[in-house]
Amino acid sequence: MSSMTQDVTVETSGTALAAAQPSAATTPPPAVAPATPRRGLPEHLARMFETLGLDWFAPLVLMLCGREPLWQVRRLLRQAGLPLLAIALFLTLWHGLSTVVRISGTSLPGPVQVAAAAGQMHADWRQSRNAHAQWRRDLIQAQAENPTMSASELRQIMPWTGAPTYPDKILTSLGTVFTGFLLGTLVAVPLGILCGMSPTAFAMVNPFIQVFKPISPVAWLPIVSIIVGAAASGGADGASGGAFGKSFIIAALVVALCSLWPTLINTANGVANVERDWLNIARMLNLPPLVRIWRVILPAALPHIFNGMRLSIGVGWMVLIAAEILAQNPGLGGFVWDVFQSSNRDALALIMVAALTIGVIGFVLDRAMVAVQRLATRGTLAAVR
Amino acid sequence: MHSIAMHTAACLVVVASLFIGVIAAAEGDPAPASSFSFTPWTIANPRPNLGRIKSAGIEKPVLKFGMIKLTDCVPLVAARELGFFAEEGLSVAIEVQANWKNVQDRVISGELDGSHMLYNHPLGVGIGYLGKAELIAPFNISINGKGITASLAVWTAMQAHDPTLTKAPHPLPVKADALKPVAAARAAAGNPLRLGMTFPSGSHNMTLRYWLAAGGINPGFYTGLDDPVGQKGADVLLSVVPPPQMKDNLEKGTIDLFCVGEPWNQQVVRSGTGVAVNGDQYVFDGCPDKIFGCRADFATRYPNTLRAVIKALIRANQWLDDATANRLRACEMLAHSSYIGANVEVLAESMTGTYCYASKDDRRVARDFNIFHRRFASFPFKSHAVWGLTQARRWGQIPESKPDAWYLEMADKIFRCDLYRDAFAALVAEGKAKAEDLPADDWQAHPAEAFIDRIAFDPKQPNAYLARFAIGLK
Repeated sequence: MSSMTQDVTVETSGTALAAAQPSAATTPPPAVAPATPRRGLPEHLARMFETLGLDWFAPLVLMLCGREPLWQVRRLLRQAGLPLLAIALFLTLWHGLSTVVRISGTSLPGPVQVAAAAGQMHADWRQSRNAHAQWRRDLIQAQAENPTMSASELRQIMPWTGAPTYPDKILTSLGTVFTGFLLGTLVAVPLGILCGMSPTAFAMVNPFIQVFKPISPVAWLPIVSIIVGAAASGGADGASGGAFGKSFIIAALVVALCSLWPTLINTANGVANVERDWLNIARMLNLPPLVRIWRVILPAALPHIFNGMRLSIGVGWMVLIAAEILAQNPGLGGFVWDVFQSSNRDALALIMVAALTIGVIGFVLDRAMVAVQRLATRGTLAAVR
Repeated sequence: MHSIAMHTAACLVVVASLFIGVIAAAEGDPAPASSFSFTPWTIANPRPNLGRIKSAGIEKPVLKFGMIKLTDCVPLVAARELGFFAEEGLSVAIEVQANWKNVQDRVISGELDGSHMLYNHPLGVGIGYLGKAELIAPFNISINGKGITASLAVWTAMQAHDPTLTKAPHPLPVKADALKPVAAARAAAGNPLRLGMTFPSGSHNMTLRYWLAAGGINPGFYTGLDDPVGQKGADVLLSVVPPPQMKDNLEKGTIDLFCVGEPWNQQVVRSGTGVAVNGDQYVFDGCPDKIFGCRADFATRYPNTLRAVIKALIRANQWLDDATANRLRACEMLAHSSYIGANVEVLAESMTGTYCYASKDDRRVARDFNIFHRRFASFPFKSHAVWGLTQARRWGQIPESKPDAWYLEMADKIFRCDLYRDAFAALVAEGKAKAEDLPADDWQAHPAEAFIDRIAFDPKQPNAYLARFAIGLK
């Protein structure tokens, strides 16, 4: 989002630790700030909201509690009003354009059509919920008719066989991206620490980083899918799929391969820039290497590591859609491809709904990472400041 | 001063875009109130008959089948939605696959218990063409059901060479003779015609090649078991395009003509970017098309399960050919986003016995386009296999000439009439099928009139059959 450019400078230069906290400086400078800041429950609440990345709520709380209401209204207008106005403008323009632009005989779907497509998807989802409820009732009835069978046995022989719904697909996508992200982080953080501590290791790993980092998911995918395919065909027999299907593994691995680089580079930078004095003290105290990493280096590099992870999950989410399209993973990417292939006349509107979902989830993921980052690095930051 | 200017500019932008929005909304065509086709079909999750699992000895009551987005996947969908699988004690999930290669790989690996497949899939892997595996066809999903569609440019060029094609409606069948000079001109210009089909060992490939060769066009030869291209000596270049991408590729000009199942031909005709030249009932009437395929060891490990599956599928095919109303309901099922997700009226075009050729107004009766049950359509005739193998030999996928006995032996092994007869007998015993709907003979000969080039097919003499083609290996 807005702090992206600052993150990149951190990634490449590895300056002071404070720069790793771009979002800490997003609150507007208090030009007409209240003269004497008070410390009470409202302030604590506001701080909590800011930590969680829900900046809009902070002035709202303060305003409701009577803390300089006029100043808070101005703050709210600037923080929430302008974006809302811009969104309204965008929708108007889009609506206007959609009635003018024509694609192969039909008009470009406008906000109304996209909303209708979302409504259609919601109806599909409710239909599927109903069928699911029916299936649960069937299970209960089957249980009554077959008292000798256990509930789990019954579930095994008459499972839910409906196609996954849109929320299911979102969950699949999230599961895939987190699995890939976790795998990537597990590789990137230790390797990054090694590279940061030893210039020799960095010199050896660096060429690989430089060459592998720009490889797009589209190029990784065939490589991964052939390797996974060959590995899986050895032991495959009947039951597979679900959470550990081949396509899931392929998509997750591609996400891992594409998203581990920011974490790796930022970790290496963070570790390399730990203050000399602290390392000297650690050496003076004769701390064993693992303790030195755990007690000194890791806490000091944490803001950098989190920054890298935040970039990684952003990259991972972007890569995921392509990976899912290619790997046929039944997530959001799979949905987009399915609709694209269906030649439905509402395909464009449906894909737009999916694109908006992807964007919103990406935004939420980013905010969530910021919140985690702020929570996890509170102590360190205080120490640095 | 500076900030006032900025504010003014911002306000101006706001007012201007609101203005544009309002004007456009007022002047532009009113957007269709709701362009959404209402799909009345509610996906069911029929309750499996658990008593049946024990009484029929079902070994594997939970199954996952694959399908490709083509209308002829409908027996699987109908058997699930109407509860035919459930009556047999089966819980079946149907999963959409991306392309035919995926289908083949996933059935072989066991990720799918079975799938909607091309009749050539088990033949191809049976002879070791592009991989070796043992798949079987215990059930024939459909006969006929493929269309050949040309881009408007190619169609206009064909009309220039054959004036009868300019008549509206154009007479059927359209022979590839009219395409031959077009192909020659394009080849001379160094830009040979590019044609789309769905899979090298696929029914669309074979039908397209048959039609081309009948018009004197050489579609090119495969050089052996590991050649997926098949363009040796070709007058036109055939390549693989997944069915849902045919329309897009035709419109972009990456291909000039294609052979594929529905609804993809009708999509193109509706959008006015191409012309459906022929339905394949005019190329080879009675041509095998899709089968239900599974691994050979599925039949040995889970014989009762497979019998139950075939029973449910036979009932689905009976239901499909019972009444046009049933076909309409089937289209509603297919239109659901869990299956094909295309608009129901496009699906209904070919499924309800009509077909649009030159334009969406050129609608003609095509009762034999998709056959599921009539004419013993669901019976996996061994002759289907022999015909497929002769075509595989004709185009070089089988690298050397084989004796007649080899063809019959392969057909025996792969097209499992015995499994079908077994399941059919069970249905007859339950009163759910009529004994006269079962053919007496596992082999079916086709008369010369069934073919566009008037060459009769005798399944017991494949080599003599091959010898009669002007273009093709013997």
